[in-house]
Amino acid sequence: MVLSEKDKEGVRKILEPVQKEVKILFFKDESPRCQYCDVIEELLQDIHSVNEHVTYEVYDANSEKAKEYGIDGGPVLLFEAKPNIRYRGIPSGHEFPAFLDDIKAIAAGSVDINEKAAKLIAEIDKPIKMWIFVTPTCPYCPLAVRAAHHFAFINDKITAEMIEAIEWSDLADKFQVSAVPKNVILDENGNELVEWEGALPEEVFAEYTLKAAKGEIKGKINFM
Amino acid sequence: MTSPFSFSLDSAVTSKAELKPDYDVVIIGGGPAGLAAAIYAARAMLRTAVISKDFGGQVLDAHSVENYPGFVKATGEELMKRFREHAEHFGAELIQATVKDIRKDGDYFIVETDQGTTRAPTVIYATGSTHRKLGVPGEEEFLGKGVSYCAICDAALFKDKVVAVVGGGNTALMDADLLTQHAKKVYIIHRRNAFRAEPVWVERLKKNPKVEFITPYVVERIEGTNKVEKLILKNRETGEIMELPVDGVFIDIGMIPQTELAKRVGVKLNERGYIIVKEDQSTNVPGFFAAGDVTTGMNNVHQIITAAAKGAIAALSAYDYLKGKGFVK
Repeated sequence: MVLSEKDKEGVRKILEPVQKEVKILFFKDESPRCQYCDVIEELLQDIHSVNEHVTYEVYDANSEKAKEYGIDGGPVLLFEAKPNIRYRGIPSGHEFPAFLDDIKAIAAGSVDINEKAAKLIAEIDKPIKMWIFVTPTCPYCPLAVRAAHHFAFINDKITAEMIEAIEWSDLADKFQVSAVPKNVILDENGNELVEWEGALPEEVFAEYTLKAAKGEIKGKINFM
Repeated sequence: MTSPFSFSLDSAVTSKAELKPDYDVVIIGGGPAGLAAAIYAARAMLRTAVISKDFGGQVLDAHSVENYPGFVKATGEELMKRFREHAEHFGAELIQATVKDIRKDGDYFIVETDQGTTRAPTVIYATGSTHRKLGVPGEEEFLGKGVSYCAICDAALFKDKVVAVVGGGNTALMDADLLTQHAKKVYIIHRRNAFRAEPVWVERLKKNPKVEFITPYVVERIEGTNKVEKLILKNRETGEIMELPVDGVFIDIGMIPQTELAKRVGVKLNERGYIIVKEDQSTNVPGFFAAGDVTTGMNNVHQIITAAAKGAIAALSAYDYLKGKGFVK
């Protein structure tokens, strides 16, 4: 058990509206990245224990099932009903409430997204990947993760992943992550389109995501 | 501090309140000044909205608040959660939104946000401030490549690395303290030999073997190829230049008041860009009050307790104003 009794009670209340099954698929492996994989599994069990509608299945990150979802290593969590909404690494710290919100949204079949942002995101017609690098202690990171997940919720061309930069340090090093949230948008082949640091208001985030998808902006953007 | 296995349900309490078309008072900013104002306004039975993109303000960046009365030690997040709950308990509506415009229309202020538009005869402007930049070569270039303004966000990315913190106030020293939990070496670079930070921070860090103070030095340049590799420092007394190899630099040299929206309704600022407030937190624009770090009223004591106190005064002044104008009985 990783959640305290008090936190479990909090989770139970937050997930009260969840009255139909939300299945989470958890992919793990034996890599050093999976240092918290046992904790992730315990967390999923704790959530299930307070709301039986939230279920989970655990798979090897190198299995056929993993290949089906284009996964090439653990830890990755995704939602069966919306497999384009993903968490690479443990959704702990400030990311945990975002994770619970995703569960609620999937159960409800709708997401609380800014209207203008929704219109812009609906225009994206080519597959893109949104990678949001975070640390669990970053209070601003969930703003970016929530927005990216909202975008993926309403447009299945978008795969949006929270990436916990400590567990996924190899990816974080590759993208030289030293300030979070770091947002990287890639095309379907994994070629980087744009990157920037910081959490933007949802509408502005949507605007830049659309521009990136259309190829109107490229490279590093500085919002400071 | 939030450990990797903590699950911050605190931030799950974000309010889902919908913006209504009118209020007695609209508070802009969800830091200590705004939330304290909300508690006092709501208890004065004013229809109160607090509009902010995040609730907690800069305090969320504090991993260890040790000087707020009644709390020997709390994270900024814990303390602000209590502020938030307190304001909501008495009926203030916390609206998570970005304010885009404020304009005057007769006796009302029209406040336009990304979640809709509202109006109120009074505004309490408590938007606080943003990080001041060093303004040296390399700072922008290496943002996110070793230059950081948020230690609580980024400290863990510098495990076993060498970092520098620039600044001499509480925030700088608190961040240095946090960084010692991750980095192998932490330099504190400050332009003066004396520190503005509370002596308790200075003494604690002087005893920490990972910490080295470099004073009285200023940063001249941040250099590297793809990421920060070194700082070029200058001694302010002797003019001596030194190179300091580092993997990262955290900049904590103070704040800039966020006055953009207030200026649109004609609020006067002082020469340093802070909103000029009277003792009752009123500004030159009738009905427009301001509190906290964005104002001249802080006597350079930018603390949670001072911001909260000014928020309380602003709320009660707004109440008096509304009564005087006949908006409330």
